[in-house]
Amino acid sequence: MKPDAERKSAPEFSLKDVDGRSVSLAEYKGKVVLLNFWATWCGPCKIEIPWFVDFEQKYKDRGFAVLGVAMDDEGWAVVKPYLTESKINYRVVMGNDSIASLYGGVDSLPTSFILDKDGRIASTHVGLVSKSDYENEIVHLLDGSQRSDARGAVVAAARPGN
Amino acid sequence: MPGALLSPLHAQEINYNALRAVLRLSPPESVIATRNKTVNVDVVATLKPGYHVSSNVAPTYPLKITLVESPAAKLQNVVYPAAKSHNLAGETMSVFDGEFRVKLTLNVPANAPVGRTMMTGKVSYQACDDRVCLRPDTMEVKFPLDIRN
Repeated sequence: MKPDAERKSAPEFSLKDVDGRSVSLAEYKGKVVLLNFWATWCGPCKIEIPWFVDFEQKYKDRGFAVLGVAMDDEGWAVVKPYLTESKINYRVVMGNDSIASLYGGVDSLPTSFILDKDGRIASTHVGLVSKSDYENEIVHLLDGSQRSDARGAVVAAARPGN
Repeated sequence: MPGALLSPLHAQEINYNALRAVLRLSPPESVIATRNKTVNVDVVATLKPGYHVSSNVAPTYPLKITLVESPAAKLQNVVYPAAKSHNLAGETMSVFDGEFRVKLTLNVPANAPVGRTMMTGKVSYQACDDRVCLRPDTMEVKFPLDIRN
């Protein structure tokens, strides 16, 4: 995970969810976010999705959210049935080349960005990594923010390079 | 989110480059053909170890080779190799891996121009290994066709 000082802000976007509602990254201000680019044709993506369902359920009350960005060219016709079939409990928006470009191209899937509560990219994962890698980072960001909230500058000063 | 964001991330920060170029195509260096006959052309494809591509019969992004229309020859038939089964997370996929050969049959018309014509086309494919999938892509394929009377 990147140290605080090296984190860059995640590019803003607004995309439609399965119900046609606009979803903006700005809505997630104050939350730790797992931003996952995936597609229904991507086998490794399908391995991760049950983990993300688990994370959403386990950590949503602590200020965490998963936001999926589907990169299927066929759109909701193929993605919507998969959301139901996989019992996806987090929001998924339909991606496009513009958002891919904003995030460095995203020509490999899965690609996931873990954003801290300030909307900065704390880590990037291209390809399948382990569930525990994700979970450790999520918990670290959630716990780190809590300590920061409670103890302010003392904690922040004590953890440079975290 | 803070207002300072919005600048795109640069690809090199993510290093997608290391993941590209998993498929290599080796068409013949030259093909000799005769007017009013068919000619066979083998295109050899080689995948980076560990990678596979969806086969020609896969439901999504099947491997497909097409040629640009030319007065020199028309693509009459394409024979793909037998697909293999690949299992990942309980799903079975139809794939090609390693080195495989796609056999093209070209029909050279009676009025085809004598001499050398560069035949061009493209291969559409979608590649994955067990860790990552590359977004669907196309690669140019070309070979010279030397037509004789």
